[in-house]
Amino acid sequence: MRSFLSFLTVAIGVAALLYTFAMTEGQNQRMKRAMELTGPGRLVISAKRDYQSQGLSTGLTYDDARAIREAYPGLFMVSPEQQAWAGRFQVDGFEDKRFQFIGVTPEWAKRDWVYELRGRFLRWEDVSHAARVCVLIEPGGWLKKPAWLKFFGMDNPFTIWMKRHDILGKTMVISGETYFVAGILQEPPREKDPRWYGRGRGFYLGGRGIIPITTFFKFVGNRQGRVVDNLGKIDEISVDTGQEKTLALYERRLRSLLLARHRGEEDFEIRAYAEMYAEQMAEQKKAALAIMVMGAVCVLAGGIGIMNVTLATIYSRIREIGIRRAVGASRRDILLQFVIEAMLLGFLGGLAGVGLGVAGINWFLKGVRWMEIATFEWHHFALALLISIGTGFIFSVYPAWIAAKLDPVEALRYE
Amino acid sequence: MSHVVQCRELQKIYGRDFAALRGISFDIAAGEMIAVVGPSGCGKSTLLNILGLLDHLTSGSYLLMGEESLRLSESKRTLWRRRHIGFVFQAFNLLPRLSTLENVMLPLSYLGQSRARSKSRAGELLDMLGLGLKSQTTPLELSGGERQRVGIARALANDPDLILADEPTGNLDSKTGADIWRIFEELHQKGRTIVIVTHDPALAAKAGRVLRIQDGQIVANPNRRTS
Repeated sequence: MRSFLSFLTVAIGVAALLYTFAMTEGQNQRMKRAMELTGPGRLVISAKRDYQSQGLSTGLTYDDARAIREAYPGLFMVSPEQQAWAGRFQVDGFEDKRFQFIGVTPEWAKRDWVYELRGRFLRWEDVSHAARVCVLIEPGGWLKKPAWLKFFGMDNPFTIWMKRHDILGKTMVISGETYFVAGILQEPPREKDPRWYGRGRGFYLGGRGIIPITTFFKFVGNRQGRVVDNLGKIDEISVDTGQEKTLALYERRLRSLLLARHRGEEDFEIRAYAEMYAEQMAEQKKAALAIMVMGAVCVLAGGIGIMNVTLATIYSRIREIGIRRAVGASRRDILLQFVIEAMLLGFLGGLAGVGLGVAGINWFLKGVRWMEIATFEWHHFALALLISIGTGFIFSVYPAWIAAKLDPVEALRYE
Repeated sequence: MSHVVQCRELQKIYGRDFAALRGISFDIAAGEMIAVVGPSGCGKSTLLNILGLLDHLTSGSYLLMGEESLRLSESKRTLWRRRHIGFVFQAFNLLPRLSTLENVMLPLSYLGQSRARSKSRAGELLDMLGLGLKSQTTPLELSGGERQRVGIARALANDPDLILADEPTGNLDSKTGADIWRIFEELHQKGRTIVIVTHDPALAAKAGRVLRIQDGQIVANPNRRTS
């Protein structure tokens, strides 16, 4: 019973440790893939959300983006972006509520391109003419749909409809305005979408389209139902310096440029993607560390349990120790016997822990939104087992040493 | 005749001043069978433990197979015990969790013999002692006499130069005791060197030589044969 309990604590501890390893590994991989997609030189300039304007600045605007582009033609990308929800839309006999507009320039194509394009993308003429063209984004769906999604049935009717109808070259009416569907961007299946590993931005499954940013200002405006807002306010400008070296330099340059344009009001934020990832990682690492500490405490408690068990076995087997010594066992033989027994106990605990951990994480992944949040590597199992065996070793050496030190004559006389 | 044991002025003092043995000298030649007799607490068991290198002597000299025991390190003592000594106990001291066969195999495993070889050797010994059919049972299922025969088989496993038996018949009725004694006599005839501590004067009389100990000293002339 006692050995079972210490076995169990070791198992739980090892499971927790394994979970931590898997989480950390999963994070590292997601981070790596996200970094691969965004590249090393990415910055994002975003409007501060709760900023109280002093009336000097007009906020972050499309003009800011143009100014940046003009001042620094060497930048790989300067991509302004503004999003808004629009109401009712109709296309080819299909009708639905909400549609998501994303107003951009052709530079958007340099940013996180994961799509397959049919038709054409936006052109600079579209932007300069504020053309009524729209490039629709078709959700990628799943290669293998997770069980929880089947259960909740989160399919969007437009997504389903889009799969069966080709609307390339057709016209769409959104909030009473007509657009020409110039192109269709096919997203990769969710499992293969590297963006998914990065910012974890929500995936909208319904109607979503890209229009020239000028068209956006003309017909969509900044908020649903609001009168068209021509100030050209935007949410963010994505900038890619094209290399890591100049990241800090451009961060400074852009700040001073924008501060000058905003008349000293710092109503924007400039952040490097790498920095944002690092912050996210640090937060997740903190959580992982807490679990790791819990796991370590569990393993420690299990170790003390093993020590207790080993001591108890030794006291109940003093006579056996005497007999073994008398028939030729050396102190080392006795020591090894108990240490090996404890290590076996630790090993079994570790094995159960690995099973528990894998089952637990699989369950976790099934039940919660994130897939691939945790990744197993074979060396995690090896490490977990090593830790449990090591625990058995460390915590049994002292009791086993006591056993080995017993005087054989007294041990034989022991009742 | 070569001497297995040579003892000179053996002394064993427990604590500050309790002398269990106060100067015992005797020799044991190879092939001898010696009975050690004396009242309880006279130091018989202590003597046996010292002969078996389980216990340390306080002063004097004890040569086992010509090697001075005082000069042996702790690990060497274990090694010598492993190679040269076979113990038989009054309380049998078999390990209840192991089968009869495994009990006999125990000394062989410490000698580093392969499992297959020690298995066949242990099997032979059990056959020889008439326990061949009981090799898979645990000691708890055996009668006292059978248990002691397992104990003897275990003592013989390492082919020892010296068999030390501490009252091997003490926990048995007189008939079974006599049977066990007969086994020792047979072993003696096959050339084994045996030291038996016993309470039973009738059995002791059958031994080739009797060592009578009282208050940690030998009372009868140690090197003279009684018969």
